[in-house]
Amino acid sequence: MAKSLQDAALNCAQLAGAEYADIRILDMLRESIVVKNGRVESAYRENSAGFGVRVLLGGAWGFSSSRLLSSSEVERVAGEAIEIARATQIVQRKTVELAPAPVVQDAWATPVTKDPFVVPLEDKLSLLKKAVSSIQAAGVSIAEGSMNFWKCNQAFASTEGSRIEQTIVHSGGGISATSVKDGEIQVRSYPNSFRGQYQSGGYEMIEAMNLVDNAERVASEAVALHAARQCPSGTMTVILDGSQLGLQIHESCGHPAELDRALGSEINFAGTSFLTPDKLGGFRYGADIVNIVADATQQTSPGGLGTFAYDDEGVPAQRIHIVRDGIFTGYLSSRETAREIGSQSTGAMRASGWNRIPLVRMTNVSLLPGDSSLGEMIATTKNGIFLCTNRSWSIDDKRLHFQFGTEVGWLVKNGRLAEMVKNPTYSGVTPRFWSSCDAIAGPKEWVIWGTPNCGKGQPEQVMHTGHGASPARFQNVSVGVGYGN
Amino acid sequence: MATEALFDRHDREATLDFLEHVLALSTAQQTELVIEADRQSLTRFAGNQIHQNVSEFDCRLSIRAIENGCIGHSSTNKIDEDAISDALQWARDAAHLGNMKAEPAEFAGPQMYASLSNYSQRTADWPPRERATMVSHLVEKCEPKGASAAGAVSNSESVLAVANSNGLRAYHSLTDANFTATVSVNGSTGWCNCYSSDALTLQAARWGKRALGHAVIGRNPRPLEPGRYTVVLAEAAVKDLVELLCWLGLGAQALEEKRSFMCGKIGKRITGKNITLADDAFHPLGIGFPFDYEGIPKQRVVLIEKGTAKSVAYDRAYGSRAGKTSTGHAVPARYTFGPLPLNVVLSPGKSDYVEMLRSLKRGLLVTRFWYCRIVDPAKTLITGQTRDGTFLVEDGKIVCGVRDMRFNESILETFSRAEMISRYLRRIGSTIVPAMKIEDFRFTELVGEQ
Repeated sequence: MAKSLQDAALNCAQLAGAEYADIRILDMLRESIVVKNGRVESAYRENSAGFGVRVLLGGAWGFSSSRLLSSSEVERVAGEAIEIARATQIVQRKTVELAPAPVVQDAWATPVTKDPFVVPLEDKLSLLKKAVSSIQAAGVSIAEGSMNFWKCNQAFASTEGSRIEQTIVHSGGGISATSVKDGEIQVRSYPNSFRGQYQSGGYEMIEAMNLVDNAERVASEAVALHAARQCPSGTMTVILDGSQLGLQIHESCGHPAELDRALGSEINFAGTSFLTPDKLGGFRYGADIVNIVADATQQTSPGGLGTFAYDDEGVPAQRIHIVRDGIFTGYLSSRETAREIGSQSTGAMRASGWNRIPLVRMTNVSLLPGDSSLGEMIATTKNGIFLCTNRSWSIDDKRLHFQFGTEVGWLVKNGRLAEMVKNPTYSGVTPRFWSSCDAIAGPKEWVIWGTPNCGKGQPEQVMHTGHGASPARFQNVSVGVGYGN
Repeated sequence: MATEALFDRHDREATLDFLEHVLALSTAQQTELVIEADRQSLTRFAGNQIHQNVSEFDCRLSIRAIENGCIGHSSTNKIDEDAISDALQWARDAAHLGNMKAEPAEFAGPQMYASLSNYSQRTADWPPRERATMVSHLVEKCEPKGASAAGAVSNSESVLAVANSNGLRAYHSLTDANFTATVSVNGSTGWCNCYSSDALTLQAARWGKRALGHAVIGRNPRPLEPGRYTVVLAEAAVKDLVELLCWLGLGAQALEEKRSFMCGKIGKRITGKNITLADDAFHPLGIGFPFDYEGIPKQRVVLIEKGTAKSVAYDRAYGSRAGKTSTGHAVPARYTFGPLPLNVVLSPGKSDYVEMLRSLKRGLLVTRFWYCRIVDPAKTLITGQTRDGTFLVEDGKIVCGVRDMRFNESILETFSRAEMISRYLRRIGSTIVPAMKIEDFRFTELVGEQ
């Protein structure tokens, strides 16, 4: 059925004069389970299916979409996409040209050991209830555990002859303890905040998390934070754990490396980028030891939320350096944006669903491991702070100036972890911050963290992105901003 | 079963007939159905040309089933017999397996709804050519001045319908349109954003002209020392503070879990006496449905009255736990953050924008904030930055544009220092706010420098 619908859409577009068209047919399944304070808050399954047709007519884009998978609706939607493209021509200053892409006929699926949609609901609830019960035993106000699963069957076809089928599965989960006492709210989470860790793969990743084994520690740390000293203010050495560093990479490297932002097309909403094309190949983004890649390939980024075989305009997954030896060397790009700078697409066009056009998005933007270790970084720090697990994040519209908060910090004194401090924050300016990086932990501590809530575009699209990171150290960082007078 | 033509003609009777049919298919002891149908189109432009132009049509059927006092939930956008049967079965199985208590134990019975008129056929049918023409008018103003325009024009039509096995039937349709633009001149940006349920009353030309004007006078922005400044916050900036305040503590879940700043403060002063905040889906400037996602009529809820904490928003579950009735603020059941006020109105004051600017001896005019995030929820401490039009005002006159700055501020403390409030209200999204003059707003760092 998919092929006949694809043919109908592409024929309709070509007959109307489109020089290019593609169609994506998606069938998406999602399951969400939340247990809070021993009570099931959500056990929800959602199915959403539909298709989107993108046409290029006279160098102008049009896109339309519908949930109704019928030949008559496909023809109506393709016709509407053509009408929209004609409207685009009313305010057109240049014609869109696409960088070449290989014609591909292929199929791919996320490697999955245990299909999360087959694992019984009772088993998932049993695991969460056990972990939540352990958290509750420590006397916190809110004990929560959650799991989320996504499966997307997608079929792509273009007038250039590409036909690609992919099945992508993402799984995630986590626990958190929230303690409310004397007008103060403290939270500790595991493996990450905002409902945990997410990766491509199946239920096997949930089982590998050891949620129950970490529940008691998380709860006791949340309670202990009330008695901890307020994080001091000043300039100091900062060591970030892998999960916080993952979000730091996302905000201060991933977003500014999106070529559509750099070319100005996101200025009204998500903003622009300080990494303008004139900086490509020569701008010092960070220290020599900083190497950052955008890697969508299964071979070197298994488990990433940005891992696939082909992006949503049929370009093969790639691994490219955004930063090599501290120098800005590459963009996340599409066929259209790459053409504008005389380059090739780096395969980063992704859409959040059947009803959205693909945009330039992060795949897995990762800091490559170094040759240090967390233990060695702490041992060689005289006076600093070790910050863990994101609590808040904010960055300017050019992705230069940021302020992050974490759930917890530990002061580092004379090479040892000292007292716990609460409400830690730090701020900086992206190239200065990354230029101050003097140690990165090695491959043994390197994890691909998942960010399932990246917003961009109008209408807004929420995307899943991956970020490989191991703990790293930064010098002369402003800590403790936000609090005080 | 009626399927494809269901919402194309925007037919109340056809929708409710369809829901009757699905209720008849259900074998659960109790069943609730919610239809969310949307048709929306958006034209996006940047660099003085349209670069994205899209349209979508979707319809989600959400099902909640109660079996033996427990509830299960599923949804699908496949409106065919097999898919609906699967979704009904999953909701029923989840009720059995999940042991998730239904609160209250029964769905609501029939309700009476106040009438609310916010549908415009011409907005629902607004063609892409008209949106493109609106863009072209702004571009024609910008190009001769060497300015570059970016933004989006959109129109949407939304249907919400609720039916349950206890006889509740609710249906409403609305339309909305939005124009937003960022105008750049030599690296300086001005911005605007306007909404209307009728696309033909958007006043895009007026707001676009203002964005262009701000970009021109903001050229060569001057860096200021971070610190405390008296600020006039335009409506878009006030809206960010109000919406985060709602998220932090004006829903019943945050109160029940003692995370809310309202906890232990009901009946006590929490902010300035000139602050009154209510949720009112029926406000003449507003946009919203007359009932919530459980089909309960929306009540006007006074959240903060003359600086005193009054109440929070409830749905049926949190209401039953707290011994209160639902105020009609249930969100879609797929969200677990509990009821929230989503049609908030911050009451007007007696000033106007020009008066507020004239009263500034030395301060800043802030057009909008960006990336506001919670730093410390108990303190209502948030951070964010200014963007797209921040100006130094001296002796009541705009002197120049200034470099953007990051702030760290408690929202409640900020609202305790509101010296003047505009008597004119604007809707930004679904929130209705005035402009405000705030003393001693705390900017902590300069942004935008490498």
